Amino acid sequence: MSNEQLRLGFEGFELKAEANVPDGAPRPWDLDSKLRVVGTDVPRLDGEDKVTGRARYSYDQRFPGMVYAGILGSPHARARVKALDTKAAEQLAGVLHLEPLGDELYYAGQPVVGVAAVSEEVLDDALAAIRVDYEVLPHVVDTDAAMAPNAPQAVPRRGGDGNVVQGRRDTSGDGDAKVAAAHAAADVIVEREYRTQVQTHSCLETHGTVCRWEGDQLTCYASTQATFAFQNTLAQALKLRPQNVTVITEHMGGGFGSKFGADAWDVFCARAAKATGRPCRLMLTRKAEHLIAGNRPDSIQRCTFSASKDGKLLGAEVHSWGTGGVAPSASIANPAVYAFEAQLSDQHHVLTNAGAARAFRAPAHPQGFFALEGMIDEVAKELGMDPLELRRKNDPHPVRQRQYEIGAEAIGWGRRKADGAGEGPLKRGLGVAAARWKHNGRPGCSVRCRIGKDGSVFVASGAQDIGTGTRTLLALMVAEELGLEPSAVEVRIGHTTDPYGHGSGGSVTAPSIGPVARQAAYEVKGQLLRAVAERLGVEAGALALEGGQLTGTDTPLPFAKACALLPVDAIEATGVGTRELFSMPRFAPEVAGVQFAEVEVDVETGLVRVVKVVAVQDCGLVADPLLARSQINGAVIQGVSYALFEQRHLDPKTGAMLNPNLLDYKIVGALDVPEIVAIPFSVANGISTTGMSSLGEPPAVPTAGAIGNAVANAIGARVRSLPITPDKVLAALGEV
Amino acid sequence: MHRFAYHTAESYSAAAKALAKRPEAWAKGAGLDLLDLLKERLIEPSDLVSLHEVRTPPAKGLLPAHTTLAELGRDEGLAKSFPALMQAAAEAATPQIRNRATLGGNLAQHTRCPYFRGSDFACYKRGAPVCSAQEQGAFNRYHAIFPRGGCASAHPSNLAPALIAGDAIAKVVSADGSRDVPVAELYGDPARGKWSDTTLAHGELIESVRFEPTPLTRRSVYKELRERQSFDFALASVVCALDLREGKVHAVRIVCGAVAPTPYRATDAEALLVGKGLDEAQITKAAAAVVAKATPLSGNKHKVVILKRLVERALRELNQ
Ligand SMILES: Cc1cc2nc3c(=O)[nH]c(=O)nc-3n(C[C@H](O)[C@H](O)[C@H](O)COP(=O)(O)OP(=O)(O)OC[C@H]3O[C@@H](n4cnc5c(N)ncnc54)[C@H](O)[C@@H]3O)c2cc1C
Repeated sequence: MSNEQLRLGFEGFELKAEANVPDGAPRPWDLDSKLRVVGTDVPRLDGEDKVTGRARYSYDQRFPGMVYAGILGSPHARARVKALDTKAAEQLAGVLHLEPLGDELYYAGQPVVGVAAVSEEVLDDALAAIRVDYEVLPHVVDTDAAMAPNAPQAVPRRGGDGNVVQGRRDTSGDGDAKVAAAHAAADVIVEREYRTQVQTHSCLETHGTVCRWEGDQLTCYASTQATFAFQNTLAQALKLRPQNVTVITEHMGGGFGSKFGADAWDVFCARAAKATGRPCRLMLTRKAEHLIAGNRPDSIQRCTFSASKDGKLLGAEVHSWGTGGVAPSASIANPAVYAFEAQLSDQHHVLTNAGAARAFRAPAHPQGFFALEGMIDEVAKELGMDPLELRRKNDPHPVRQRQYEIGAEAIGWGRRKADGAGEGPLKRGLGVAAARWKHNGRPGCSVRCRIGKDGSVFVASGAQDIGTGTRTLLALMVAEELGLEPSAVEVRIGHTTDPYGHGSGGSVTAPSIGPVARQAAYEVKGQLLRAVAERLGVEAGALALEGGQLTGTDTPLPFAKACALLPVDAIEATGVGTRELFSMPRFAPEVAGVQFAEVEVDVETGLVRVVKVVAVQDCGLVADPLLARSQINGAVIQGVSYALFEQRHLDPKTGAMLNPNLLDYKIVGALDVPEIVAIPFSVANGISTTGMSSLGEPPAVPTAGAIGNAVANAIGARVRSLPITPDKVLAALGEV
Repeated sequence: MHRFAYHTAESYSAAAKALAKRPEAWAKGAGLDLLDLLKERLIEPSDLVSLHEVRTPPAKGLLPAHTTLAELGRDEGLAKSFPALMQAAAEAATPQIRNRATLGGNLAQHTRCPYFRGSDFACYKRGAPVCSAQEQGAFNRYHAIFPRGGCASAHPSNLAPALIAGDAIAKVVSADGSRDVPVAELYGDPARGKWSDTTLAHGELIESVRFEPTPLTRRSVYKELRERQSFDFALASVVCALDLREGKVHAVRIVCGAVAPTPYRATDAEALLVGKGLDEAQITKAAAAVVAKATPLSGNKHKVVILKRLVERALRELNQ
């Protein structure tokens, strides 16, 4: 253990902290570090493969003799299979395997039968030929309806009746009394109801896998954001040892939180591959993807916020209800961020007959923050105060304080007009919202780094790339340590035969494997320098790797020449993510972000267009600003889509989905994407030896809130429900 | 996959003959509408007769049915002779779709009502006794505000209202010959189990459409509102065409899309304008008259407001 003085924070707000650096670990990066490639715009190493179609996704895997599997989903929201007649399907030429998958059905789309056939066409015929006699039972798919006293029980639950399940109930201090007291002391109290919709993940690559057996060894080309969780859950379901299952995910087409373990259909795919003795592919249809592969729960948020007349936020009381379908998982992040005197969040999960919710890019947050940030603006309005000023008065985070200034400048907050002001039908408005996230890097991953005698550098991590750029990040870390260009580093990711990496959930990947990759490179560099020093008869401590060369000798040696001096064919080290590596002092307890939106609303038709979004986002040390901007852009685009367009529509009568495609389930298109000014805000964070933190999710938190506030500013009326469609805008304006 | 025989045809009349012989055969233009119906197994045709290979020699004033929306949308001649038609084509769908979608298919395409398009639902057009969109609690945000004949679907075509406003005539061919049909008469009331919105009989095909450039077509404009700026259908649309003579409305057409099961011509509003000068008061009155008889559903009252605004904007623009 050695002690290092670190300089943390950002320009204008710095602090010194003492770090305990474990033996054999490099000095943590901080404001004093002189970094060469880290912190520069490095294009995604596999970008060209992706845009040219060379990158092979699970969807693209084809093997000789491969069979196609699919599932027949329940057409009913609640039913029981009385009788199943699969004879006609089984007799079709080319149908190779068929099994029932469930008979007690709680939501439309729930798997009833699985089939494997020689082609997609035969599979389609087989699914159509299956006759199921359903006993159709009462269902409820609507959140409000499910809360009614006589609503059908959507799913049986342990320890209680009814569809409303008490969720988190957090109070600050000693409970409800404190919030009541805060309200009582307030000068203004605002009480409002906000609503958000169900959003489906709509991964471009649907869920699924291609399975191949060789003896008792199974290989799965899985579209997953957690290779090792997939390996583990699949092995468990098949009663295999994890070592008998190899998961390969070199590229995957989006997960957003919906692709962790192996799903029932993946297990079926593996069984069908075994039963037919052929490679088997099962990728969900677009309809199934909407129905059974996860969603973001909706929410009803009844909020009471209070403040003193000088703009001190006092009480925040939120009672919420939402449905995660058959899963009781409709938590919301509201209240949050601001320093209320007292707060209470009383949350309820409402069971309905719909596919289960799954984690979705910043779970609980976009929905919570749409209401939270709307409420802050509504309080500001009551107080007659600028909403940005109210935030700055009550926001304890030092990074956000600076980000408010940067963002306000970039959007031109000074132009903001009074609510609803302006001539003509097209009204412009500005809005702001904050973001938070936890520093989610954590111990436990390993990364292997190998240097060959020929000077080649190879890095391997079994973790996957959910789209954030894992490959590029690994290359960057190693290149920085070895004094090379990132393109000189060959990377393999997504094979469970390589060192363990966490699932990509909670934005953990980069901050968890970054320090470990650096560690691996640092250790293998040590080996290289010692070996070379021995050959040359110099002190290893005098040698260094920089600019593609070995320096510290009389004449610098090119990296490859230095490697040629190795006495063995290759040297290798595995960086291990120990607890100590992640125990550096921290600058701030949370990741911070701020977004500003400018909208234009046609008050005659209710049409909202987002003109511009400025997103200032902290993610600790920004390892690659280009990749960071790409994450921010993606999050903002998804946020605009959530704010204006996306919504799962279930028909209350049948419980079936009315828009199970990508035409009627509206996702933002290029013409509706605003100008996005993505500003990665680098903070020397400490935490680990690389100081990186979470980025994938936090910029997805505030977009809808900022847009909602901008709309209210534009039209002088508030839409408290997502998505903000023309009908709601016209209703808010009293036109309908 | 449902199996069918696939035929190509050299001419529309050859295609019509091929269809006439097979009661379960369907014609296919670019297939953008048809393939969705096939994939959902809503239709199971015995044969598909492709019109995609048909090429008719260009003739002045004649738009062959295989003309694509992209071609119409960039037609310089139309920009002068019938701007509303050009605009209607250019605003539809997406560039990729416009590059393929044909005029004939656009006029004969089926509604995008989700109850019609989803095999999970009951639909009056597909033979159910009731229209699901009009049931209590139904999702009908995009539906008709002038439901008719027991159906509340919204007509999807951008081109049909324009062609109706321009008094266009369709040449319809069948195994027995051909006849001229005003585009307005291509559409009839919905009926239970009647899939198509057109009045064409099985085996009848639109070969071409023609219109006379008149003061009406030359002074015409298309306005629509859609939620998304691409890859979306209109919430409401309108074509207005105006023949102003000596400061007075000599003739006018107001034809609306996406608000009724078929294109909706607002004859009351037209009548109110004819013979009078056009000013802001008249425009407001006419727009109000367009929606006066609207009977919106539980979830689409906003379409009444939107349509009214679109009519005002269209007339105002033509009056400049
Ligand atoms: C995402 C999306 C968005 C869209 N947005 C719009 C929009 O905003 N506005 C709009 O107007 N359209 C829109 N469309 C519809 C598109 O324009 C139509 O699908 C297209 O015009 C149909 O043409 P097609 O050649 O593909 O027809 P097909 O699918 O081949 O045929 C459609 C129907 O017409 C019949 N048919 C085809 N040709 C003839 C003929 N010559 N005579 C008689 N019957 C015929 C066929 O039998 C079939 O029943 C959209 C479509 C999509 C997929």
